[in-house]
Amino acid sequence: MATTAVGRSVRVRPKAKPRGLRISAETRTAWLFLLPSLIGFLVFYAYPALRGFYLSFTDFDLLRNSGSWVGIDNYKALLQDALFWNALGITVKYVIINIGIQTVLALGIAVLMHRLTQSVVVRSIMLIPWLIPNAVLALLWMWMLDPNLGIVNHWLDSIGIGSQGFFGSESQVIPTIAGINIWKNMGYTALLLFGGLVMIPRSFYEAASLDGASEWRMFRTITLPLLRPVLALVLVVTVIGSFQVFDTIQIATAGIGGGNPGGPGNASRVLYMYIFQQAFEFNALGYASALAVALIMLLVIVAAIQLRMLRAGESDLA
Amino acid sequence: MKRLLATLVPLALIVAACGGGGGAATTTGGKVLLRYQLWDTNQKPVYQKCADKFQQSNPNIQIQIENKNWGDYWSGLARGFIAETAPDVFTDHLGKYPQFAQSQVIEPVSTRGVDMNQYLPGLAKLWKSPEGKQYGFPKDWDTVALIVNQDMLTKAGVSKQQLDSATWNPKDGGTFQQIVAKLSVDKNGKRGDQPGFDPGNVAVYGLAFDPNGLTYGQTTWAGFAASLGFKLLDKNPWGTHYSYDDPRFAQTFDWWRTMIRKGYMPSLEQARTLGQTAAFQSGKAALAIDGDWTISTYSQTKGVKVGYAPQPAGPNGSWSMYNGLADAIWVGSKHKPEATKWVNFLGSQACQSIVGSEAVVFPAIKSEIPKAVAKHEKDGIDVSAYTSYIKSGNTVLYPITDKAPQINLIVQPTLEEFLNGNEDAGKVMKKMNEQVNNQLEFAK
Amino acid sequence: MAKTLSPATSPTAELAAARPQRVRVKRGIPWGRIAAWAAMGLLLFVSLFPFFWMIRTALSTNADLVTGSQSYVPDNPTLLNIKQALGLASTEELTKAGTLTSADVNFFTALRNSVIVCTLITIGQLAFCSMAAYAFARLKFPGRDKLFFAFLTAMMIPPIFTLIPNFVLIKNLGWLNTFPGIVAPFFLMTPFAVFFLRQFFLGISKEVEEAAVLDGASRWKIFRQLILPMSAAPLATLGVLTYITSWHEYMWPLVTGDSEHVRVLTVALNAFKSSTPTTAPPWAPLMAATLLASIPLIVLFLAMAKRMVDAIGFSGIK
Repeated sequence: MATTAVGRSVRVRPKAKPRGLRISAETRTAWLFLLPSLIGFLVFYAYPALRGFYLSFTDFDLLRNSGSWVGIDNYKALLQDALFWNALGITVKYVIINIGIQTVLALGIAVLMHRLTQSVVVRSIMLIPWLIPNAVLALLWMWMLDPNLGIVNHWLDSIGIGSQGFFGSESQVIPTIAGINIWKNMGYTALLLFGGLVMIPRSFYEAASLDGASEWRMFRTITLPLLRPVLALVLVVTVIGSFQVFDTIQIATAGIGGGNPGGPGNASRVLYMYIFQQAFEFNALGYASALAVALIMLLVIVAAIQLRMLRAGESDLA
Repeated sequence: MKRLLATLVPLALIVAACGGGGGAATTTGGKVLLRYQLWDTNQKPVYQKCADKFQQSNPNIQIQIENKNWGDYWSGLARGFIAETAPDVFTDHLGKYPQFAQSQVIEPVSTRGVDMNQYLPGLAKLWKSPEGKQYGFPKDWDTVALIVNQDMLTKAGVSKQQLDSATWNPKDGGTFQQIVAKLSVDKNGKRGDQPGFDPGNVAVYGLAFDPNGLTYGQTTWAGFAASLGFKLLDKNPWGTHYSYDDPRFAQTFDWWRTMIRKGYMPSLEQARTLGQTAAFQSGKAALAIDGDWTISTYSQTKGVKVGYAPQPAGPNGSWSMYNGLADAIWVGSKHKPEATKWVNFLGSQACQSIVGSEAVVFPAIKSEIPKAVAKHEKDGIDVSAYTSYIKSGNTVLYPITDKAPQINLIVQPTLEEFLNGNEDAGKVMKKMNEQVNNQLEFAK
Repeated sequence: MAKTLSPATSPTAELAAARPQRVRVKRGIPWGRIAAWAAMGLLLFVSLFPFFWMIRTALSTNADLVTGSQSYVPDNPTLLNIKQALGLASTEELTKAGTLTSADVNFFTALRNSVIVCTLITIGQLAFCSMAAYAFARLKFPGRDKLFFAFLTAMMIPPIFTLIPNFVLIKNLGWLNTFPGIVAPFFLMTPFAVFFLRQFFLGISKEVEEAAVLDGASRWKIFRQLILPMSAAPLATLGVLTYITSWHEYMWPLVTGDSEHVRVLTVALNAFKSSTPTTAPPWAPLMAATLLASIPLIVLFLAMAKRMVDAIGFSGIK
């Protein structure tokens, strides 16, 4: 039942079977179930994606609303674009730090919420960071992490560590953004995992502890395997989302006045921001589309690998 | 559950459909409605007054002033162009209008019947394209000067006159550097010119640092380099060759880095997040270099007496970069004749006299400038520092070239990395200059 | 930070008391428990502190903030910012405080708009995505896995790809600045919702379903009367998540719904951002506005959390 890795194809099998074969009742039902979502998918995802793909072969200008075919010129330029490779590297670094820490943390929180306390208060508090929109979060953390006026550096100073650059430091900017993202999302991710934990029949745990298993043992042998579909979901979704990080970085690294998002230097110019700059600052929608296509390719490969590795289509419960 | 959905969904859709409206109206009560957009909140009341006056002599036109914050201003306009919901007239910026002109989303204006000499010299030609089309009438101008924390100045034993007549050179920073050193205080109370001053532990910096706009250096290096005779472009506007590799630029920027190293200026790391206004207003910096559009912000700082001094004088005197805004007409406006009338009015004496009297910015028409100066004086603010450059003619125009955004993407990060690193200025600037000129050469 | 994975030991401890000879008896101080609670406490603090800081900033005068006061309690507490966010402050008061923003914030209208948009989107997604998810999880039909992967790929399409074509489509439909226009791309499906529910449906045991099929029940009946009730927890979770995510939508409502009668809260908050390139945003009113914008979400979550606890009681038990 594992999903097979397929290329970026968005093609869908036609509804009608070749003449001579009955459409089974089950297939018919399935298509009925799928219909609304399918329409949404085709109109709002597939069509724009195809159009974007087409645009990547043109030199379409955003403001002029026109462009002409340039073949694979954009892609050739892309391969030689130092900023593209830089962006790629930075994005990958960000994703690894972000997801690595966030997943482990969220898993731990979910287990804590499941086994330690089922208090609704605790769960609500953990979700509060997630309730703040990204744009404001960037401003809030800029405010809190500023080397001069920020409260965090104020504390660091008083305990002797000294003021840190955070957003202003080339080496710290990506970990800082990752940290903010982790802070914001750990409760949310934990909630997703929690939903999965809760579906695991309690009887399994009761039986195991009757047999003398420790918490850690139960976690490893019961929780983790049965959580696999949900864990897969969480990982795939958070990784994909991470690759597309944008708002927080855009605002937080631009500083007041929007001087140079993506800085200091080019240290936080993630792929998505570079795409955005090409499209909206340089009006080079064609090239930006090519960059976006590159990003999509990357995500497809990563997701396919993930799904394969995690065998997300199976569940040990069923 | 299904029943619930069955009733809710259609209900919701009905509500939604009723809640929606159409596009923006272009007439109201029989009058033509002109939408005018600007970003500066402080300027809205002033232009409302202009609008009231305009509406008196043009009773069939109603001006609706819309305030869109800077952060969303340009992308909002871009969306408006695509969606065909852009405002009829909007405040334009020298850094953006070349793109708009090339993409033909703004209308050229006719200069027939308009006295282009009434504006401060140099401003009008900035808004002229290489083909000779005028894309706006100058409506205001700005220069850059030193913002001074008077109390700190006094405490350091420096008089305002000394600061006003400070000299500068890229080798040792002249008397300016000495003053800045005196104003810098480390956490142990030692001043920058005293032995034992710890650059790693500074409590108050002599000079704040604006990490934005390093590309043209309007609020950082532009005045300094110009005072050495440095010219960034071969010609302005519409330069075709950048000269970042000029040794004078390298020297200026190198001096900048030395100031940071010496602890007289905050490092890029420290200044990048909240900028120089925050540093100055919280008492972490004694001086700042900023434009006259910030006068009201700084002057309102609680508990700080603020003064203004001209930039230090290099071998060629005290220089500043010089910039100005104009209003543009959208090509897709449904009321171009009325929009033209409004834009002409904005660029005329009638409106600029009001702008001058309110003194939120300096009007571009020469005869109206004294009004603004007088208003500031009434509020106890001495703005002679900003007008000094106009008098002496020591102004360098805001650079206009093609591909400004792309060049910014090269220069700003490179300069930032330079400030953080240890490389030789000459080498870095030369390489950067090559990249910049390559961009220009392959312009569309 | 390696997450501690040995939380409560209570089941073991209880059972240890009952059958001492089979189980390791935990002596005295439950270190695991203490560590777990300490970790929990730290997490709660970290989650809450920035929120507290936001409140503290919202209640301070802007002048104090600008001069760098770091006190935990505002030096000069004031309700002016909250009044400003609600649109109840007079121009004179604001000019005196130096925080005048001439862009009007119609708080209650924006609030109403956000509620309408989010409710619509949540209803739509829950309905249509659960149907699609069921088809993917339980029904067999040709091309199922390929189609599912295609849906997944939709998640990897950077919003920037879809932004402009969707925008043009909405404009051509005449839906700009209307609720249908704002809701459209999200109403029928989002890849995440389908993925999410499909993973949960996979985790439901097949036997009960198979029994129902043998009894001759139609798929629709099974879906409605068996699967949906059993998935109350994931559905409730998805509902809350969808509601919150739609509440946070910024780019799309900005682009399609900027006029006042449909402007949602996130877009309305723009009024509090920097009005010029070099001035800082007015921190105090900005934080006040964000606070107010987050409260409905907190209320929603608290309300739903209880339902979720009840729903959990039914699921997870075999």
